[in-house]
Amino acid sequence: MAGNLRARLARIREAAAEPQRPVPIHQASDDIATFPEGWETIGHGLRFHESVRRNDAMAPPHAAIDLAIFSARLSGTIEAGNLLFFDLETTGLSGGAGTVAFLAAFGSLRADGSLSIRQYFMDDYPFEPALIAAMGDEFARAGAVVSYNGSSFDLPLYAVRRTMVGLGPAPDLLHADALHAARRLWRRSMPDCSLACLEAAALGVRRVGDIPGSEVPTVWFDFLRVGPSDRLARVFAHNEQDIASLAALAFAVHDAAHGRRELPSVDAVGLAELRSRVDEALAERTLTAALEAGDARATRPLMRLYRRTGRCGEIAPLVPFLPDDPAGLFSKSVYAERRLRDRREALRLAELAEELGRGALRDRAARRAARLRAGQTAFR
Amino acid sequence: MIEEDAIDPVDRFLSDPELAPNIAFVRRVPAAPASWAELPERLDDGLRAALDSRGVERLYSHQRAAWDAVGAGMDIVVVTPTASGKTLCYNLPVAQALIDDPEARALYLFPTKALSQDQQAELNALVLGGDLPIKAATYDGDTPQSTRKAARDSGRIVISNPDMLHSGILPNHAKWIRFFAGLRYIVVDEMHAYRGVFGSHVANVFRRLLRVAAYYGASPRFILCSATIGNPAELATALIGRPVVAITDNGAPRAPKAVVFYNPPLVDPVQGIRRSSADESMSLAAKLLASGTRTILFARSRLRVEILASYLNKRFENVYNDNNRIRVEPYRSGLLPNERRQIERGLRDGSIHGVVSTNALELGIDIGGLDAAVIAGWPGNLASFWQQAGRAGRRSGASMAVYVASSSPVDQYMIEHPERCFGSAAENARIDPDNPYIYADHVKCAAFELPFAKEERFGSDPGAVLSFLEEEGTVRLAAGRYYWSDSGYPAEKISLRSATADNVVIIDTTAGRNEVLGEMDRPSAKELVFDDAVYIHRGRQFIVLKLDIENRQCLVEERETNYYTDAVVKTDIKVLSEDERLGSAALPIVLGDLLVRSSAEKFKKLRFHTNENIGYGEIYLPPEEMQTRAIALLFPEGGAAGSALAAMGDGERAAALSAFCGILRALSPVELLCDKGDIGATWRLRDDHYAVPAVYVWDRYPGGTGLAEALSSSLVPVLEAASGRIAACDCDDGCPSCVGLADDALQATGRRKSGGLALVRLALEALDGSSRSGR
Ligand SMILES: [Zn+2]
Repeated sequence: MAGNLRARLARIREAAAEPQRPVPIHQASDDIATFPEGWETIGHGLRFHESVRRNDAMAPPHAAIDLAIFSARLSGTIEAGNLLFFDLETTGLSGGAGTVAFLAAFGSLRADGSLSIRQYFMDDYPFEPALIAAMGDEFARAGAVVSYNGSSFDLPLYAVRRTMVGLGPAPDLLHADALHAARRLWRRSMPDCSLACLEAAALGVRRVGDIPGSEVPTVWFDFLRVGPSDRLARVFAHNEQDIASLAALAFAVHDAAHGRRELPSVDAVGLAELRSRVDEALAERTLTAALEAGDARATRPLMRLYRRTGRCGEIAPLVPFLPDDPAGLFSKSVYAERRLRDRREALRLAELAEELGRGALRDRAARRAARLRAGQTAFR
Repeated sequence: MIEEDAIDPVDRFLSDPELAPNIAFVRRVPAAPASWAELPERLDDGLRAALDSRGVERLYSHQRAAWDAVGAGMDIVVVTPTASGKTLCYNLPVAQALIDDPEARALYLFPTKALSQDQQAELNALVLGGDLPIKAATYDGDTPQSTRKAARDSGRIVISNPDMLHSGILPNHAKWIRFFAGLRYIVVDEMHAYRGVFGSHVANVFRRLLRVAAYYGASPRFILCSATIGNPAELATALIGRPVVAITDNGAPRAPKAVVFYNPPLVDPVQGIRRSSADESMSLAAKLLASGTRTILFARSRLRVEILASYLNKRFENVYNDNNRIRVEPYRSGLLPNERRQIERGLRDGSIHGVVSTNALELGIDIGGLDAAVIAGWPGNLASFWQQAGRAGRRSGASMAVYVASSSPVDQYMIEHPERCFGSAAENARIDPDNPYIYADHVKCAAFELPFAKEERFGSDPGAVLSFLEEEGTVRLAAGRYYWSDSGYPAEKISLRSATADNVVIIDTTAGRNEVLGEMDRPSAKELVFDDAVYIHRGRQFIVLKLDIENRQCLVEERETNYYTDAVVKTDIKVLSEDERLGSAALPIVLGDLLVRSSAEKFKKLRFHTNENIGYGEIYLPPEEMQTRAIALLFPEGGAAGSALAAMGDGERAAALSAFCGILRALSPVELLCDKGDIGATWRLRDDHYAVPAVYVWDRYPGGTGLAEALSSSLVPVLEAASGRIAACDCDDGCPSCVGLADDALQATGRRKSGGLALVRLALEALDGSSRSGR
């Protein structure tokens, strides 16, 4: 059958006649036929570009950065100048063995407080080992790395690529994913927590001529087939801006957590959670203020904070402020019975909790309501 | 369950005066003793203890043979009937290897998820019974994200299915480094399920698996298990791409069983019409159920299953004695997983007394021993027949399997040749791993997984596919390698199970409901769930409101009807290539590619029970077009068959050709391991392409799955069966049991049967010398 496979494939393809991906027309006036400026070749098929930005949004390079703000699993501080911000541009989002990173950007603060952004770009697939090795060198110099969604995308992809080019497992990295902290602050107020959305809302960054992330793979494929274009330069700019925004956002979140900076549209409960990792007193003030402003969601974190700090006597008075969800109603029923000695109100709340609740909570509420009802008839 | 009276329930069944006249054949398969072998000397002490705790002191001879062959480094296939201890054939050598080498890993593949769940339980019993340090982990679509990493990193045995391997594991192999680097054994259970389309896909998945394993320095061996088929070693070899040793001598003991062939009585001897096998099977099952015999009834189609189950339940609903507790459930493919599990549980705990099933239950799901199996219509092949028959009495005690023949030619042929069931004449399973559609899809997946070196070997001609993909821009050739160069994830668009990945989802919209009932592949949907079709799901009837092919949706609404629907499908063909000329000068046979365009433009409404045609409806759907493999049988005037045709009048010639075509299509599955529905056939009085009378038979899967090639070399036995069947048929001039019925014009000639038989005999003479020597 091998003999006629080619003929059969040809016939099938003819019949399917799928529209071919249009080859971009190279003669458009704003296209540039040469590689974007400022790039130098640093190895076989590997290019390098560095830019330096002065920016008030950055922390001083010797400032101590609390890693716990970015992840509850981390602790300790690190000098701002030892942080490495990074971001990859890839041929797809699947993360499978056929998804490749072709462009990597790294950012770090220099001694003078400016932000250095270093980008590495591979000219074609066979040069991937050089790109991955360059990334490994960057990581090796870092005290900790900061990414945006790196824990579920960029770092696993980096690990896969290391395997694919035969470099072996990546050494352990101290990694802070800024997306997690950002979600705590803006999940409730922003349509999404993408970096593009937050940099506009929180940092006032306006990108000009940016290329949407979804078009990035196509630009790379087109580069491979027809060479550099204006769109490639825009991908470079996009990737560079991602690092600048990531660094600015990370420092902004860090400052906000320390109460040194106000950020727009921030959820107070989320902010208090970040603050509680570095400053319990500040977190308490944040929660109390939120509660006073009528945010019932602040009640539970405040109760937990009191428990953590051994102020158990202050917990019970907070019960009336709990939200009217099934668990809140249940607690309020207990409170009404024991503190207020109002069994009728306690029953009403227990019944409500039973009605709205599910699973084990509903069963407990049902038992409580039954007991209260029985007690009521016994009294009469 | 069977009543404790003196008469054996089998005897009672056989001596029932209502049934006795229709019993064509009875074979009591006697109990057989086991053939034993010693435990291997080299067996690990922990394993020995684990076996000991389960009362295993010796092995069946085939288990020992498997151990020895695996130990000698061979790829093997073990062919065993149901309940013959096949799992030890692979569990033992695998466990030993994993104990010997702490880095070693094994992959177990089962065709369905339910099977892998049973398997994990079985493995845990063996492994934990002896406290062995071997962790088995299931990794399939149901495995929660949170436990996947643990399964990848620490599962010494990973239990999965080909679909998950294809779309989840191989494309992410870099997350499975330790697993692939240590991969020593690949266990493939239920190998006979990997035939046709599915098998052709799976053979390519194995090519990818071996390629990835080799990348990590592993060269795993295969242990395959199969139910009885004619060519286990050949199928295994085709699946894994290298020679495989077959172990076929079964050493397990057998419980006694009665196999009964039941031929429903003729109601119209002239037309050759018998009482419907579905109705007869249902009354047999009802009789058995009413007497307390737990029974499974196998029907051939989803539709039949639904109809039979609802009839049976209605029947027991109005019985106001003890029987009104009898519950019968339909069980078929297309049910959602939780619906299936409910039924499986009911069968095990006894709250369900009978079940009506399609072959979904063939695949060894443990539902506990049933007392009787009633098989409505020939299940298509011997492996299925024995698996269905084996559903009754898996453990011990007298049990019974009743085969109820339909009027179809294969069914009647089997009634006439019961010896085929007991001899060695099992059908051959075919796959075509080089089907251009399937092969090209997997070259894509493989390119995603690892770049292709230019001279790399992978199936028949990876270069041909890769250069196409390069032109298309899906891969990029750089420095002598093809790199995946697309943002997509190819495996997610490729289904191993159906012709097209784009299944249609059937949604119940009754009274604002929005509930998914099931799925169906697109070509089937066009013929089964067109607008106004009746769709039956778990005994409930639905009317199709809208088949939305574009959005892959079919909206249905529950409604009682007294009819079901059947599409009338029209077929056009065009020859695309003549690749091989076989046969003889008197009867040339051409193997090649064919374009088949089928369209359903109207449908019949048929009344339940009577099948009476009570009306027609229109179907407005674009035709389905496909390229596939086919054989054309040509009747030039120079040959005896052709000159006989030439001597006939037009009407007579058409009648003979249609009869020849009908019996050829109907009886091909006797030799090929396929369903009648897997092949299509048509005839031409004077063919446009060859300019002589011609009969075409094609593979109904795009690109072919080896059926056309297989038929080209099995034509002689198929034609022999055809000539026997026509000669033996009681009918006057053609009936559904032989050459089939035709429209009035052809029927009016009165020469269909004689013309068809003459043509079959002349064709046999023309082929006899040439094909037989080639077999
Ligand atoms: Zn007949």
